Amino acid sequence: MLDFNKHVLESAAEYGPVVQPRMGFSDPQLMSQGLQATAQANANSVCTITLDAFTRVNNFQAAGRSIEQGAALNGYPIVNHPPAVTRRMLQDIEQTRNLPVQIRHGSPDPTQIFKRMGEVGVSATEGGPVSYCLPYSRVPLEKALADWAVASRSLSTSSPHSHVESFAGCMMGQMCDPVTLIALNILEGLFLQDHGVSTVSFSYAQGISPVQDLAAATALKHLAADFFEQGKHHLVLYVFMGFFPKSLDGFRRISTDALRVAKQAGVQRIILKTPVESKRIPTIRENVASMEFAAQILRHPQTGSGLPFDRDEYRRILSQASTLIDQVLQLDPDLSQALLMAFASGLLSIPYCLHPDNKRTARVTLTKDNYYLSHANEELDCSYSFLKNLRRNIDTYDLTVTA
Amino acid sequence: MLLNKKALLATIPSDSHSWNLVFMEFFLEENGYDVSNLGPNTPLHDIEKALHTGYYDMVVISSTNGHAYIEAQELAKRIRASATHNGQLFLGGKICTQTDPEIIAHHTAALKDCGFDEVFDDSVMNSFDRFQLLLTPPASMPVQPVSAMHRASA
Repeated sequence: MLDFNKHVLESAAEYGPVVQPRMGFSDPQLMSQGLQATAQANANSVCTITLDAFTRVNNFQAAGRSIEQGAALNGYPIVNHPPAVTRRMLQDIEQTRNLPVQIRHGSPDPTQIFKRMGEVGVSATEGGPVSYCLPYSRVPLEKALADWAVASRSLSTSSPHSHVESFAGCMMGQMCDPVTLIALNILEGLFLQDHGVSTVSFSYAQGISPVQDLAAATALKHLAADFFEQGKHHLVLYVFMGFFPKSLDGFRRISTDALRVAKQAGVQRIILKTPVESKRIPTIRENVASMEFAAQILRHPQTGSGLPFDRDEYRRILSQASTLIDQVLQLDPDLSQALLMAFASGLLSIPYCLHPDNKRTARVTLTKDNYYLSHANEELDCSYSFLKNLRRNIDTYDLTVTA
Repeated sequence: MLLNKKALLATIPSDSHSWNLVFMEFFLEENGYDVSNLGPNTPLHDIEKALHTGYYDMVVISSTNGHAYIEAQELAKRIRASATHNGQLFLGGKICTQTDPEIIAHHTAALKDCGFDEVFDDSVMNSFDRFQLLLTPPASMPVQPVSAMHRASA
Protein backbone atom coordinates (compact mmCIF):
# COMPACT_ATOMS: atom_id res chain seq x y z
CA MET A 1 0.00 0.00 0.00
CA LEU A 2 1.40 3.39 -0.98
CA ASP A 3 1.94 6.16 1.56
CA PHE A 4 -0.33 8.98 0.35
CA ASN A 5 1.31 11.74 2.43
CA LYS A 6 4.83 10.69 1.44
CA HIS A 7 3.87 10.53 -2.22
CA VAL A 8 2.33 14.02 -2.14
CA LEU A 9 5.29 15.56 -0.27
CA GLU A 10 7.89 13.98 -2.53
CA SER A 11 6.21 14.58 -5.86
CA ALA A 12 5.24 18.14 -4.91
CA ALA A 13 8.88 18.84 -3.97
CA GLU A 14 10.05 17.44 -7.30
CA TYR A 15 7.34 18.58 -9.75
CA GLY A 16 5.31 21.24 -7.96
CA PRO A 17 1.81 20.96 -6.47
CA VAL A 18 -0.08 17.71 -7.02
CA VAL A 19 -3.46 18.08 -8.71
CA GLN A 20 -6.49 15.98 -7.87
CA PRO A 21 -9.99 15.66 -9.30
CA ARG A 22 -13.19 15.05 -7.34
CA MET A 23 -14.21 12.03 -9.35
CA GLY A 24 -16.69 9.28 -8.56
CA PHE A 25 -18.88 6.96 -10.64
CA SER A 26 -21.24 4.22 -9.53
CA ASP A 27 -20.12 1.71 -12.17
CA PRO A 28 -16.82 -0.05 -11.26
CA GLN A 29 -15.70 -0.19 -14.86
CA LEU A 30 -16.26 3.53 -15.37
CA MET A 31 -14.61 4.25 -11.98
CA SER A 32 -11.58 2.22 -13.05
CA GLN A 33 -11.39 4.09 -16.34
CA GLY A 34 -11.54 7.33 -14.35
CA LEU A 35 -8.59 6.28 -12.18
CA GLN A 36 -6.56 5.23 -15.21
CA ALA A 37 -7.35 8.49 -17.02
CA THR A 38 -6.33 10.52 -13.95
CA ALA A 39 -3.06 8.60 -13.75
CA GLN A 40 -2.34 9.05 -17.45
CA ALA A 41 -3.19 12.76 -17.54
CA ASN A 42 -0.32 15.02 -18.46
CA ALA A 43 -0.16 16.38 -14.92
CA ASN A 44 1.34 15.60 -11.51
CA SER A 45 -1.86 13.90 -10.37
CA VAL A 46 -3.19 11.68 -7.61
CA CYS A 47 -6.37 9.64 -7.94
CA THR A 48 -9.73 10.03 -6.29
CA ILE A 49 -12.68 7.78 -5.64
CA THR A 50 -15.60 9.91 -4.49
CA LEU A 51 -18.39 7.92 -2.86
CA ASP A 52 -22.11 8.40 -3.50
CA ALA A 53 -24.59 10.26 -1.31
CA PHE A 54 -26.37 7.09 -0.10
CA THR A 55 -23.10 5.57 1.16
CA ARG A 56 -22.26 8.90 2.80
CA VAL A 57 -25.34 8.61 5.03
CA ASN A 58 -24.90 4.83 5.54
CA ASN A 59 -28.01 4.02 3.50
CA PHE A 60 -26.54 0.89 1.91
CA GLN A 61 -29.97 -0.49 1.13
CA ALA A 62 -30.79 2.44 -1.15
CA ALA A 63 -27.34 2.22 -2.76
CA GLY A 64 -27.87 -1.50 -3.39
CA ARG A 65 -31.31 -0.95 -4.89
CA SER A 66 -29.91 1.67 -7.26
CA ILE A 67 -27.11 -0.67 -8.37
CA GLU A 68 -29.67 -3.41 -9.06
CA GLN A 69 -31.86 -1.05 -11.05
CA GLY A 70 -28.88 0.39 -12.91
CA ALA A 71 -29.71 3.91 -11.71
CA ALA A 72 -26.71 6.28 -11.85
CA LEU A 73 -25.50 7.30 -8.39
CA ASN A 74 -23.45 10.45 -7.84
CA GLY A 75 -20.40 8.45 -6.71
CA TYR A 76 -18.88 5.01 -6.10
CA PRO A 77 -20.79 2.84 -3.58
CA ILE A 78 -17.69 1.25 -2.02
CA VAL A 79 -19.54 -0.69 0.68
CA ASN A 80 -21.99 -2.30 -1.75
CA HIS A 81 -19.60 -3.30 -4.52
CA PRO A 82 -17.79 -6.61 -3.84
CA PRO A 83 -14.45 -5.96 -2.03
CA ALA A 84 -12.56 -8.01 -4.64
CA VAL A 85 -13.73 -5.68 -7.42
CA THR A 86 -12.55 -2.54 -5.60
CA ARG A 87 -9.32 -4.22 -4.46
CA ARG A 88 -8.42 -5.18 -8.03
CA MET A 89 -9.16 -1.66 -9.25
CA LEU A 90 -6.92 -0.14 -6.55
CA GLN A 91 -4.10 -2.65 -7.04
CA ASP A 92 -4.17 -1.95 -10.74
CA ILE A 93 -3.60 1.74 -10.26
CA GLU A 94 -1.03 1.38 -7.46
CA GLN A 95 1.04 -1.26 -9.23
CA THR A 96 0.90 -0.14 -12.84
CA ARG A 97 0.93 3.61 -12.22
CA ASN A 98 2.54 3.81 -8.78
CA LEU A 99 -0.10 6.31 -7.70
CA PRO A 100 -2.07 6.41 -4.45
CA VAL A 101 -5.83 6.86 -4.31
CA GLN A 102 -7.80 8.99 -1.85
CA ILE A 103 -11.32 7.98 -0.84
CA ARG A 104 -13.61 11.01 -0.56
CA HIS A 105 -16.90 10.46 1.22
CA GLY A 106 -18.40 13.29 3.30
CA SER A 107 -19.71 11.00 6.03
CA PRO A 108 -20.41 12.00 9.65
CA ASP A 109 -20.01 8.31 10.56
CA PRO A 110 -17.42 6.72 8.27
CA THR A 111 -17.01 3.50 10.32
CA GLN A 112 -18.32 1.19 7.57
CA ILE A 113 -16.45 3.07 4.86
CA PHE A 114 -13.13 2.95 6.74
CA LYS A 115 -13.65 -0.73 7.53
CA ARG A 116 -14.14 -1.44 3.85
CA MET A 117 -11.09 0.70 3.00
CA GLY A 118 -9.02 -1.60 5.21
CA GLU A 119 -10.44 -4.67 3.45
CA VAL A 120 -9.68 -3.37 -0.03
CA GLY A 121 -6.25 -1.94 0.80
CA VAL A 122 -6.54 1.84 0.68
CA SER A 123 -5.52 4.10 3.56
CA ALA A 124 -5.99 7.73 2.50
CA THR A 125 -9.23 9.57 3.01
CA GLU A 126 -10.63 12.88 4.25
CA GLY A 127 -13.22 14.56 6.44
CA GLY A 128 -13.33 15.04 10.19
CA PRO A 129 -15.72 14.84 13.14
CA VAL A 130 -16.69 18.52 12.92
CA SER A 131 -16.22 19.24 9.22
CA TYR A 132 -18.36 16.30 8.10
CA CYS A 133 -20.94 16.71 10.82
CA LEU A 134 -21.96 20.35 11.11
CA PRO A 135 -22.30 21.51 7.53
CA TYR A 136 -23.48 18.29 5.93
CA SER A 137 -25.50 16.26 8.38
CA ARG A 138 -27.98 16.35 11.23
CA VAL A 139 -26.05 13.90 13.38
CA PRO A 140 -25.41 15.33 16.89
CA LEU A 141 -21.81 16.58 17.16
CA GLU A 142 -21.28 14.38 20.21
CA LYS A 143 -22.15 11.27 18.17
CA ALA A 144 -19.97 12.34 15.24
CA LEU A 145 -16.99 12.81 17.57
CA ALA A 146 -17.53 9.35 19.09
CA ASP A 147 -18.02 7.68 15.68
CA TRP A 148 -15.00 9.40 14.16
CA ALA A 149 -12.87 8.29 17.12
CA VAL A 150 -13.80 4.65 16.47
CA ALA A 151 -13.50 4.97 12.68
CA SER A 152 -10.10 6.71 12.86
CA ARG A 153 -8.79 4.00 15.18
CA SER A 154 -9.95 1.27 12.78
CA LEU A 155 -8.36 3.06 9.81
CA SER A 156 -5.09 3.44 11.66
CA THR A 157 -4.93 -0.25 12.62
CA SER A 158 -5.61 -1.40 9.06
CA SER A 159 -2.54 0.33 7.61
CA PRO A 160 0.74 1.89 8.71
CA HIS A 161 0.05 4.75 6.27
CA SER A 162 -3.35 5.91 7.43
CA HIS A 163 -3.98 9.44 6.18
CA VAL A 164 -6.89 11.79 6.77
CA GLU A 165 -7.24 15.25 5.28
CA SER A 166 -9.23 17.57 7.53
CA PHE A 167 -12.04 19.09 5.52
CA ALA A 168 -12.26 22.00 7.97
CA GLY A 169 -10.98 24.48 5.40
CA CYS A 170 -14.18 24.03 3.43
CA MET A 171 -16.84 24.58 6.11
CA MET A 172 -19.98 25.46 4.12
CA GLY A 173 -17.78 25.99 1.05
CA GLN A 174 -17.75 29.77 1.28
CA MET A 175 -18.60 32.77 3.49
CA CYS A 176 -16.35 31.97 6.45
CA ASP A 177 -13.53 33.94 8.04
CA PRO A 178 -10.19 32.09 7.48
CA VAL A 179 -9.55 32.37 11.24
CA THR A 180 -12.34 29.86 11.93
CA LEU A 181 -11.31 27.54 9.10
CA ILE A 182 -7.68 27.44 10.17
CA ALA A 183 -8.34 26.97 13.88
CA LEU A 184 -10.71 24.08 13.11
CA ASN A 185 -8.18 22.45 10.77
CA ILE A 186 -5.59 22.30 13.53
CA LEU A 187 -8.14 21.09 16.09
CA GLU A 188 -9.38 18.32 13.79
CA GLY A 189 -5.80 17.38 12.94
CA LEU A 190 -5.06 16.99 16.66
CA PHE A 191 -8.20 14.87 17.09
CA LEU A 192 -7.23 12.58 14.19
CA GLN A 193 -3.67 12.27 15.49
CA ASP A 194 -4.99 11.48 18.99
CA HIS A 195 -6.98 8.61 17.50
CA GLY A 196 -4.04 6.99 15.77
CA VAL A 197 -4.06 8.45 12.25
CA SER A 198 -0.43 8.46 11.02
CA THR A 199 -0.40 11.52 8.77
CA VAL A 200 -2.81 14.38 8.17
CA SER A 201 -3.37 17.16 5.70
CA PHE A 202 -4.96 20.57 6.18
CA SER A 203 -7.37 22.12 3.76
CA TYR A 204 -8.17 25.65 2.76
CA ALA A 205 -10.85 26.64 0.26
CA GLN A 206 -10.33 29.60 -2.03
CA GLY A 207 -12.30 32.67 -0.99
CA ILE A 208 -13.12 35.86 -2.81
CA SER A 209 -9.71 37.52 -2.66
CA PRO A 210 -6.48 35.75 -3.70
CA VAL A 211 -4.59 38.19 -1.47
CA GLN A 212 -6.54 37.12 1.62
CA ASP A 213 -6.17 33.50 0.50
CA LEU A 214 -2.37 33.82 0.29
CA ALA A 215 -2.26 35.33 3.79
CA ALA A 216 -4.56 32.58 5.11
CA ALA A 217 -2.77 29.65 3.45
CA THR A 218 0.55 30.96 4.77
CA ALA A 219 -0.87 31.28 8.28
CA LEU A 220 -2.20 27.72 8.05
CA LYS A 221 1.21 26.46 6.92
CA HIS A 222 2.96 28.11 9.85
CA LEU A 223 0.41 26.97 12.43
CA ALA A 224 0.47 23.40 11.10
CA ALA A 225 4.26 23.40 11.40
CA ASP A 226 3.93 24.53 15.04
CA PHE A 227 1.59 21.70 15.96
CA PHE A 228 2.62 18.79 13.71
CA GLU A 229 5.84 16.97 12.91
CA GLN A 230 7.58 17.82 9.66
CA GLY A 231 7.13 15.17 6.98
CA LYS A 232 3.91 13.98 8.60
CA HIS A 233 1.53 16.51 7.11
CA HIS A 234 0.82 18.59 4.03
CA LEU A 235 -1.46 21.36 2.81
CA VAL A 236 -4.37 21.20 0.37
CA LEU A 237 -5.98 24.08 -1.47
CA TYR A 238 -9.48 23.77 -2.91
CA VAL A 239 -10.54 25.67 -5.97
CA PHE A 240 -13.63 27.64 -4.88
CA MET A 241 -16.15 25.38 -3.16
CA GLY A 242 -19.09 27.76 -3.22
CA PHE A 243 -21.31 28.91 -6.05
CA PHE A 244 -19.16 28.38 -9.06
CA PRO A 245 -18.79 30.58 -12.15
CA LYS A 246 -20.72 29.26 -15.13
CA SER A 247 -18.64 30.47 -18.05
CA LEU A 248 -15.50 28.82 -19.38
CA ASP A 249 -13.60 32.06 -18.87
CA GLY A 250 -14.90 32.30 -15.31
CA PHE A 251 -13.63 28.77 -14.66
CA ARG A 252 -10.25 29.61 -16.17
CA ARG A 253 -9.82 32.79 -14.15
CA ILE A 254 -11.00 31.49 -10.79
CA SER A 255 -8.85 28.35 -11.16
CA THR A 256 -5.82 30.40 -12.17
CA ASP A 257 -6.19 32.57 -9.04
CA ALA A 258 -6.37 29.44 -6.86
CA LEU A 259 -3.30 27.94 -8.53
CA ARG A 260 -1.33 31.14 -7.99
CA VAL A 261 -2.22 31.11 -4.29
CA ALA A 262 -1.25 27.43 -4.02
CA LYS A 263 2.09 27.87 -5.71
CA GLN A 264 3.03 31.05 -3.87
CA ALA A 265 1.98 29.69 -0.46
CA GLY A 266 3.82 26.40 -1.00
CA VAL A 267 0.69 24.25 -0.88
CA GLN A 268 1.43 20.64 -1.91
CA ARG A 269 -1.93 19.46 -3.27
CA ILE A 270 -4.82 21.13 -5.10
CA ILE A 271 -8.38 19.87 -5.49
CA LEU A 272 -9.69 21.01 -8.84
CA LYS A 273 -13.02 21.86 -10.34
CA THR A 274 -14.19 21.72 -13.94
CA PRO A 275 -16.00 24.20 -16.19
CA VAL A 276 -19.26 22.21 -15.90
CA GLU A 277 -19.23 22.35 -12.08
CA SER A 278 -22.28 24.62 -11.77
CA LYS A 279 -24.39 22.32 -13.93
CA ARG A 280 -23.60 18.66 -13.46
CA ILE A 281 -21.12 15.94 -12.50
CA PRO A 282 -18.14 16.18 -14.88
CA THR A 283 -17.17 13.37 -17.24
CA ILE A 284 -13.77 11.66 -17.14
CA ARG A 285 -12.53 13.69 -20.11
CA GLU A 286 -13.63 16.94 -18.51
CA ASN A 287 -11.75 16.02 -15.32
CA VAL A 288 -8.61 15.18 -17.31
CA ALA A 289 -8.85 18.43 -19.25
CA SER A 290 -9.09 20.33 -15.98
CA MET A 291 -6.00 18.57 -14.54
CA GLU A 292 -3.99 19.24 -17.69
CA PHE A 293 -5.10 22.87 -17.73
CA ALA A 294 -4.00 23.25 -14.10
CA ALA A 295 -0.66 21.58 -14.80
CA GLN A 296 -0.03 24.00 -17.63
CA ILE A 297 -0.86 27.04 -15.48
CA LEU A 298 1.34 25.71 -12.66
CA ARG A 299 4.29 25.35 -15.05
CA HIS A 300 3.98 28.97 -16.12
CA PRO A 301 6.65 31.07 -14.34
CA GLN A 302 4.21 33.91 -13.63
CA THR A 303 2.03 31.62 -11.51
CA GLY A 304 4.73 31.49 -8.84
CA SER A 305 4.86 35.21 -8.13
CA GLY A 306 2.99 38.48 -8.30
CA LEU A 307 0.37 38.25 -5.54
CA PRO A 308 1.03 40.86 -2.86
CA PHE A 309 1.55 39.49 0.63
CA ASP A 310 -0.75 41.25 3.12
CA ARG A 311 1.32 41.01 6.28
CA ASP A 312 -1.35 42.61 8.47
CA GLU A 313 -4.00 40.12 7.37
CA TYR A 314 -1.53 37.25 7.81
CA ARG A 315 -0.81 38.43 11.37
CA ARG A 316 -4.52 38.89 12.14
CA ILE A 317 -5.36 35.36 10.98
CA LEU A 318 -2.35 33.77 12.68
CA SER A 319 -2.89 35.46 16.03
CA GLN A 320 -6.68 35.10 16.15
CA ALA A 321 -6.54 31.45 15.06
CA SER A 322 -3.79 30.68 17.63
CA THR A 323 -5.87 32.30 20.36
CA LEU A 324 -8.97 30.37 19.33
CA ILE A 325 -7.09 27.05 19.30
CA ASP A 326 -5.61 27.75 22.75
CA GLN A 327 -9.01 28.75 24.15
CA VAL A 328 -10.58 25.51 22.91
CA LEU A 329 -7.71 23.33 24.12
CA GLN A 330 -7.96 24.88 27.60
CA LEU A 331 -11.63 23.92 27.97
CA ASP A 332 -10.95 20.24 28.65
CA PRO A 333 -8.02 17.80 28.43
CA ASP A 334 -10.24 15.57 26.27
CA LEU A 335 -10.37 17.23 22.85
CA SER A 336 -13.82 15.81 21.98
CA GLN A 337 -15.18 17.32 25.17
CA ALA A 338 -13.41 20.61 24.50
CA LEU A 339 -14.87 20.82 20.99
CA LEU A 340 -18.39 20.11 22.29
CA MET A 341 -18.04 22.82 24.91
CA ALA A 342 -16.64 25.29 22.37
CA PHE A 343 -19.62 24.83 20.04
CA ALA A 344 -22.14 24.81 22.89
CA SER A 345 -20.86 28.16 24.18
CA GLY A 346 -20.56 29.68 20.70
CA LEU A 347 -16.77 30.13 21.05
CA LEU A 348 -16.66 28.14 17.81
CA SER A 349 -19.49 28.96 15.43
CA ILE A 350 -19.92 28.35 11.72
CA PRO A 351 -21.73 31.18 9.92
CA TYR A 352 -25.05 30.18 8.27
CA CYS A 353 -24.69 26.52 9.29
CA LEU A 354 -28.15 25.07 10.06
CA HIS A 355 -26.97 22.24 12.33
CA PRO A 356 -28.74 22.25 15.72
CA ASP A 357 -25.39 22.05 17.58
CA ASN A 358 -24.11 25.16 15.85
CA LYS A 359 -25.12 28.41 17.52
CA ARG A 360 -26.10 30.63 14.63
CA THR A 361 -24.30 33.61 16.15
CA ALA A 362 -21.53 34.41 13.68
CA ARG A 363 -22.21 36.20 10.43
CA VAL A 364 -19.75 37.14 7.74
CA THR A 365 -19.24 40.37 5.86
CA LEU A 366 -17.23 41.09 2.77
CA THR A 367 -14.81 43.98 3.27
CA LYS A 368 -14.09 46.47 0.52
CA ASP A 369 -11.05 44.34 -0.37
CA ASN A 370 -13.30 41.28 -0.74
CA TYR A 371 -11.96 39.70 2.45
CA TYR A 372 -14.25 37.47 4.51
CA LEU A 373 -14.52 38.85 8.03
CA SER A 374 -16.52 37.46 10.98
CA HIS A 375 -18.71 39.72 13.00
CA ALA A 376 -20.81 38.79 15.93
CA ASN A 377 -23.62 41.34 15.64
CA GLU A 378 -26.94 39.93 14.65
CA GLU A 379 -27.01 42.17 11.60
CA LEU A 380 -29.96 41.20 9.45
CA ASP A 381 -29.16 39.92 6.01
CA CYS A 382 -31.93 39.93 3.46
CA SER A 383 -32.20 37.33 0.74
CA TYR A 384 -30.92 39.83 -1.78
CA SER A 385 -27.78 40.93 0.10
CA PHE A 386 -27.11 37.35 1.16
CA LEU A 387 -27.44 36.17 -2.42
CA LYS A 388 -25.20 38.98 -3.60
CA ASN A 389 -22.42 37.94 -1.20
CA LEU A 390 -22.98 34.29 -2.02
CA ARG A 391 -22.69 35.06 -5.73
CA ARG A 392 -19.77 37.45 -5.47
CA ASN A 393 -17.34 35.11 -7.23
CA ILE A 394 -19.81 34.34 -10.01
CA ASP A 395 -20.23 38.05 -10.59
CA THR A 396 -16.50 38.74 -10.35
CA TYR A 397 -15.25 35.92 -12.55
CA ASP A 398 -18.10 35.50 -15.01
CA LEU A 399 -19.11 39.07 -15.63
CA THR A 400 -16.03 41.26 -15.21
CA VAL A 401 -14.30 41.76 -18.53
CA THR A 402 -10.61 40.84 -18.49
CA ALA A 403 -8.45 43.88 -19.06
CA MET B 1 -44.11 42.20 7.53
CA LEU B 2 -47.02 40.21 8.85
CA LEU B 3 -46.19 36.52 8.68
CA ASN B 4 -49.60 35.03 8.15
CA LYS B 5 -48.69 31.98 6.08
CA LYS B 6 -46.61 29.01 7.12
CA ALA B 7 -44.07 27.16 5.02
CA LEU B 8 -42.23 23.94 5.76
CA LEU B 9 -38.80 23.89 4.15
CA ALA B 10 -36.86 20.63 3.78
CA THR B 11 -34.76 18.49 1.46
CA ILE B 12 -34.43 14.78 0.64
CA PRO B 13 -32.67 12.41 3.08
CA SER B 14 -29.45 12.02 1.03
CA ASP B 15 -28.97 15.72 0.23
CA SER B 16 -26.43 17.51 2.41
CA HIS B 17 -26.49 20.94 0.74
CA SER B 18 -27.51 23.90 2.93
CA TRP B 19 -27.05 27.17 1.02
CA ASN B 20 -30.21 26.53 -0.94
CA LEU B 21 -32.07 26.05 2.35
CA VAL B 22 -30.51 29.15 3.99
CA PHE B 23 -31.44 31.23 0.98
CA MET B 24 -34.98 29.81 0.74
CA GLU B 25 -35.50 30.60 4.41
CA PHE B 26 -34.62 34.28 3.82
CA PHE B 27 -36.61 34.32 0.62
CA LEU B 28 -39.82 32.75 1.90
CA GLU B 29 -39.74 34.95 5.00
CA GLU B 30 -39.49 38.05 2.83
CA ASN B 31 -42.50 36.79 0.92
CA GLY B 32 -44.57 36.67 4.07
CA TYR B 33 -44.06 33.11 5.21
CA ASP B 34 -43.27 31.92 8.69
CA VAL B 35 -40.65 29.27 7.82
CA SER B 36 -39.77 26.03 9.57
CA ASN B 37 -36.41 25.04 8.11
CA LEU B 38 -35.76 21.35 8.76
CA GLY B 39 -32.18 21.56 7.45
CA PRO B 40 -30.05 19.29 5.25
CA ASN B 41 -30.51 15.49 5.01
CA THR B 42 -34.10 15.79 6.24
CA PRO B 43 -35.42 12.35 7.25
CA LEU B 44 -38.87 11.62 5.74
CA HIS B 45 -40.06 10.94 9.24
CA ASP B 46 -39.23 14.49 10.37
CA ILE B 47 -41.30 15.95 7.54
CA GLU B 48 -44.23 13.66 8.37
CA LYS B 49 -43.95 14.53 12.04
CA ALA B 50 -43.92 18.27 11.31
CA LEU B 51 -47.01 17.96 9.10
CA HIS B 52 -48.74 15.85 11.69
CA THR B 53 -48.17 18.32 14.51
CA GLY B 54 -48.58 21.61 12.65
CA TYR B 55 -50.37 23.26 9.77
CA TYR B 56 -48.45 24.51 6.71
CA ASP B 57 -49.79 26.37 3.70
CA MET B 58 -46.87 25.22 1.63
CA VAL B 59 -44.21 22.53 1.69
CA VAL B 60 -41.04 23.35 -0.25
CA ILE B 61 -38.51 20.62 -0.99
CA SER B 62 -35.21 22.03 -2.23
CA SER B 63 -32.61 19.57 -3.50
CA THR B 64 -29.43 19.88 -5.55
CA ASN B 65 -27.61 16.56 -5.27
CA GLY B 66 -29.33 14.87 -8.21
CA HIS B 67 -31.11 12.20 -6.18
CA ALA B 68 -34.52 13.88 -5.94
CA TYR B 69 -35.84 11.89 -8.90
CA ILE B 70 -35.35 8.79 -6.71
CA GLU B 71 -36.13 10.00 -3.18
CA ALA B 72 -38.68 12.77 -3.70
CA GLN B 73 -41.17 10.37 -5.31
CA GLU B 74 -41.45 8.40 -2.09
CA LEU B 75 -41.58 11.63 -0.13
CA ALA B 76 -44.49 13.06 -2.15
CA LYS B 77 -46.41 9.80 -2.04
CA ARG B 78 -46.07 9.62 1.73
CA ILE B 79 -47.08 13.24 2.26
CA ARG B 80 -50.14 12.87 0.04
CA ALA B 81 -51.11 9.45 1.41
CA SER B 82 -51.07 10.59 5.03
CA ALA B 83 -53.61 13.34 4.26
CA THR B 84 -51.95 15.62 6.82
CA HIS B 85 -51.07 18.14 4.12
CA ASN B 86 -53.58 19.34 1.55
CA GLY B 87 -51.72 22.56 0.71
CA GLN B 88 -49.14 23.23 -1.93
CA LEU B 89 -46.20 20.87 -2.39
CA PHE B 90 -43.25 22.07 -4.48
CA LEU B 91 -39.89 20.66 -5.47
CA GLY B 92 -37.03 22.74 -6.80
CA GLY B 93 -33.34 22.48 -7.62
CA LYS B 94 -31.50 19.82 -9.59
CA ILE B 95 -33.78 16.81 -9.65
CA CYS B 96 -31.45 14.32 -11.40
CA THR B 97 -27.82 13.86 -12.42
CA GLN B 98 -28.60 14.62 -16.09
CA THR B 99 -29.12 17.87 -17.97
CA ASP B 100 -30.99 16.42 -20.94
CA PRO B 101 -34.31 18.37 -21.04
CA GLU B 102 -36.20 15.23 -22.11
CA ILE B 103 -34.94 13.25 -19.13
CA ILE B 104 -35.75 16.17 -16.81
CA ALA B 105 -39.27 16.41 -18.30
CA HIS B 106 -39.72 12.67 -17.81
CA HIS B 107 -38.69 12.84 -14.12
CA THR B 108 -40.79 15.98 -13.61
CA ALA B 109 -43.90 14.18 -14.88
CA ALA B 110 -43.20 11.18 -12.65
CA LEU B 111 -42.71 13.43 -9.61
CA LYS B 112 -45.95 15.30 -10.30
CA ASP B 113 -47.76 11.98 -10.60
CA CYS B 114 -46.52 11.20 -7.10
CA GLY B 115 -48.10 14.36 -5.67
CA PHE B 116 -45.99 17.46 -6.34
CA ASP B 117 -48.02 20.43 -7.55
CA GLU B 118 -45.06 21.77 -9.45
CA VAL B 119 -41.41 20.85 -10.03
CA PHE B 120 -38.80 23.54 -10.74
CA ASP B 121 -35.63 22.03 -12.13
CA ASP B 122 -33.17 24.77 -12.97
CA SER B 123 -30.12 22.81 -14.11
CA VAL B 124 -30.61 23.91 -17.72
CA MET B 125 -33.08 26.77 -17.50
CA ASN B 126 -33.95 29.32 -14.84
CA SER B 127 -37.22 28.14 -13.39
CA PHE B 128 -36.75 29.99 -10.12
CA ASP B 129 -38.53 33.11 -11.35
CA ARG B 130 -41.56 30.95 -12.13
CA PHE B 131 -41.59 29.82 -8.50
CA GLN B 132 -41.18 33.41 -7.32
CA LEU B 133 -44.25 34.47 -9.32
CA LEU B 134 -46.25 31.74 -7.62
CA LEU B 135 -45.67 33.35 -4.26
CA THR B 136 -47.62 36.38 -5.56
CA PRO B 137 -46.13 39.23 -3.51
CA PRO B 138 -48.31 42.26 -2.79
CA ALA B 139 -48.79 44.55 -5.78
CA SER B 140 -46.82 47.32 -4.05
CA MET B 141 -43.71 45.16 -4.01
CA PRO B 142 -42.07 44.92 -7.43
CA VAL B 143 -41.03 41.41 -8.43
CA GLN B 144 -37.28 41.34 -8.70
CA PRO B 145 -36.28 38.16 -10.51
CA VAL B 146 -33.77 36.21 -8.50
CA SER B 147 -31.57 33.97 -10.58
CA ALA B 148 -31.54 30.25 -9.96
CA MET B 149 -30.07 29.40 -6.60
CA HIS B 150 -29.75 25.67 -6.75
CA ARG B 151 -26.29 25.54 -8.13
CA ALA B 152 -24.27 24.77 -5.05
CA SER B 153 -21.44 22.39 -5.60
CA ALA B 154 -20.01 22.67 -2.13
